Amino acid sequence: MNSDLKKLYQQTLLQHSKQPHNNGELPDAASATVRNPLCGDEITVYHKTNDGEKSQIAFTAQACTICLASASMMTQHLATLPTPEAVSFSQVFVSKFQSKPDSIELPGELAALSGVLSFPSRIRCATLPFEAYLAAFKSGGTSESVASLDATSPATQEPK
Amino acid sequence: MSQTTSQPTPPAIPPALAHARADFPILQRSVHGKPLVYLDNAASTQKPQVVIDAVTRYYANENANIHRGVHLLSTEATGAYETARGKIATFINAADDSEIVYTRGATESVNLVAHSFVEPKLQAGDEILISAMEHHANIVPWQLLCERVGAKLKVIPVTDDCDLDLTHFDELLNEKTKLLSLVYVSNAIGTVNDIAPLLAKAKAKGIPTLVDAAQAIQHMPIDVQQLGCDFLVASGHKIYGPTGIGILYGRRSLLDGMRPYQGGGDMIAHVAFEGSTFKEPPSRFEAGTPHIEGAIGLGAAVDYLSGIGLQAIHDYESDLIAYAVAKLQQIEGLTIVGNPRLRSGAISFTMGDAHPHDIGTVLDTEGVAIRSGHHCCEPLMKRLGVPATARASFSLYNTPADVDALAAALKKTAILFM
Repeated sequence: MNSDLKKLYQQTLLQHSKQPHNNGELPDAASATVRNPLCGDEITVYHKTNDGEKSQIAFTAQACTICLASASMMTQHLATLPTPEAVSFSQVFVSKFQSKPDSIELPGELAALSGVLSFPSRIRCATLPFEAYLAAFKSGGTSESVASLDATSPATQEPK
Repeated sequence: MSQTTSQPTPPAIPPALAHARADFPILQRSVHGKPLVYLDNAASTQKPQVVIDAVTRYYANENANIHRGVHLLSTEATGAYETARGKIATFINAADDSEIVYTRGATESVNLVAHSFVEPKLQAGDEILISAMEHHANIVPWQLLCERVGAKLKVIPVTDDCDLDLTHFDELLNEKTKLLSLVYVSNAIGTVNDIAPLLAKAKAKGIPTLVDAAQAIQHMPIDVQQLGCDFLVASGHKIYGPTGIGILYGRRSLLDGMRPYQGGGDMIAHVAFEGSTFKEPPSRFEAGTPHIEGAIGLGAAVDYLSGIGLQAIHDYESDLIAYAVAKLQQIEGLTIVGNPRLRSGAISFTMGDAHPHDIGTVLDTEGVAIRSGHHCCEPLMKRLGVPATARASFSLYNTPADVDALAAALKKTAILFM
């Protein structure tokens, strides 16, 4: 198998996508749905803060392996952080991937997502859950927001 | 289906297509260290050297604006631009060159008809009839128009096999219908619709018709007079020509009565502040400086296709797709989406829980370029119960070896995800 492909589809990532953690709705939580118009993938992230400290985060999605794995790992990692730090981490995560660096350092199992850097067309798959988390945090309530975060990006235009 | 099933027989490449691959320089390149197997032709086809040369020749030798200058370069450029129009008219057997309007593509052609032909006739309560297998460009312009006027968009359903379900066609096509607009070949599934009888029914009721031939014109001979349509749209970049150029065929008697689509430049007959008059079709619909090199390149593409012969292309591609269907059916866990009575151009499929984008990425690393997603056909995907599919789409330069490479790459995909 191609070495880039091996790096992309690491076992950690495949396991998370096959058995994602925190996969389900979270009652009484703020939520946001984000869609990638390129492929039609859609993820809803639920966010509930307990006593202003750490968060409960869950998701439902119709998405690819990378997006599902990213969402699963995201819910686990962000739940270990106080909400302000979780938000900050997510913002940095998205901006780092969007700048398409040659390499990226990520904590814990999230490091498995670094393989997408060799596949620029798949970077959005990794960032979509974090975009949805940020949108859910911003919404602050139960209202649902459907966002295409980069509507002007060429990546949102799909030839027939 | 078991992989022990006997192997299908690959079709022979006919003499007319023997040198096709060598005509396309891009097919010599590699992707991720593997020979390029290009199976995303429904999105855009590659360009033969003759098209590349025609565009280069225009820039190197003839570059000038058209219909304006009295100098030699402008005269030559104008001649090349209008000669290409004639080639396209002949290609689809239009009655006159003036029935070919250059546009930016099939999408703009549909929008032009919506704005200039249908809208002035449309009233609240009127209906536009399309099908459930249209791509977005033959849905959204009509939705926007209906919203402006208060008209209704009606939809011919599709069967589970992804053929048109014509059970209620005669009721759907009624006195309220102001246009029947149908896709000839589905870009997402490859269904070839038997549109001639439907167009005839519309004609009998005095209802104008539009055919979206974006995925048909490169795969089979098209005769607009025999077909009996009023309008036909197609894109240049899907028929081996440049991007940014497309055509609208319109019956001259209808074009004559249509208002301009955009104003300015070459569509003007006379301008005064009190009012302006406009040129005859097709100039009336070609505002501004057009995509001159695109038209010239499209003319070269049409020459190239005509030189091979559309019937030869159709027959070979049909055999190749039958071979591909048979090969894909042998792959464990692969499901071909749609089982139309007649297929052209494309095969859509899913593989268990493997997401089409993951399939596309793995295939890319094997040098195999396919499309994954909803193919700008979200309503059709919803009807068929899939969020997205992987799609292999074929052209005249694809070979049985390309199909074998696709099948081999899909088996590697299955190992990873299934």
